Amino acid sequence: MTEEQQIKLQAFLDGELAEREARAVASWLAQDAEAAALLGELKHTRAALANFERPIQLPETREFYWSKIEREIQIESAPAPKSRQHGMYAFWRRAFAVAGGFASLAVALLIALSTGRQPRPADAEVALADTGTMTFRNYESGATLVWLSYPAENGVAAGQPATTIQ
Amino acid sequence: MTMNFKKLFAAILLAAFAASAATAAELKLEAQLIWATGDAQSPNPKHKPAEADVQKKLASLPIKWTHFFEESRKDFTVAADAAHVDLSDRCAVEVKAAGEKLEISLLGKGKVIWRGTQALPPGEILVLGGNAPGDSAWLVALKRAN
Repeated sequence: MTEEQQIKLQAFLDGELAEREARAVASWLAQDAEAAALLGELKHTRAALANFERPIQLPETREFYWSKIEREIQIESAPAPKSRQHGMYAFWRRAFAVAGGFASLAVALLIALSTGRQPRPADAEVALADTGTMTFRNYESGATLVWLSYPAENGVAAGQPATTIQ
Repeated sequence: MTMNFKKLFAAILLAAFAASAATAAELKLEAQLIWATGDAQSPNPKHKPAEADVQKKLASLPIKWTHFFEESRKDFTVAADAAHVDLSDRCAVEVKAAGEKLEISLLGKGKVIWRGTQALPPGEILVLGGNAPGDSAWLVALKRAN
């Protein structure tokens, strides 16, 4: 099986293929046992790594912070009243509007970073050296996991429905 | 007499230095083959529950299984040459020193199925794993020996 076919299977599993292409893959799976076995392994791997990602939760919605920044930009880009288009007052008004926009962004980033610094039980470090392995490291516990998602031909697990792994 | 004593002293110093150098270059490791499952009991009577500290480290990993049984365990020493350790008739690891890190190869049925290089400080554990039949998994755990 080529690497392109493996990637296509992963995309099929993730629901990322167009309808026509997904039908073609489904037809291929019905005829190719090796491909079907690989799809099964990918499903197992996805299930095994459930709850893998821990999303960062902001105290308020993303839209709220961006709306504040957008407002500042609109203020800055709105045409100044005729009576204030010239002179030092207009200059400082624009300067503070821009500074306010940057300050809002900095506050949003600081809040996001301080939220993210709360102790988390795991920091995910994922490396995909090839399509067959995934690496995870928990810095707190000092444990590193390398998950091999090859089909059963990895030679470690027996092919029979064994109760051991010998 | 004085010259003989000096020679003897130098020989003793040299021997002591060589011994300490040899000891420093050796690294004692432990490899365990572990079966991971959702069942509280293993049908294999030869299985025994994995060590508590190993179970704790495995529980910190994002794998769904909650029970871990030790299939086999081997202590070995890594020196200048690669150490080959058979954990079962289908599974083996080879470990070679690579500067401050270790080059680790996982073999299945005699073929290398994974190779990587990383450090393994005391207190840490490297776990190589994959799916096994019956909704279970095999794990190979490597750590420094006590």
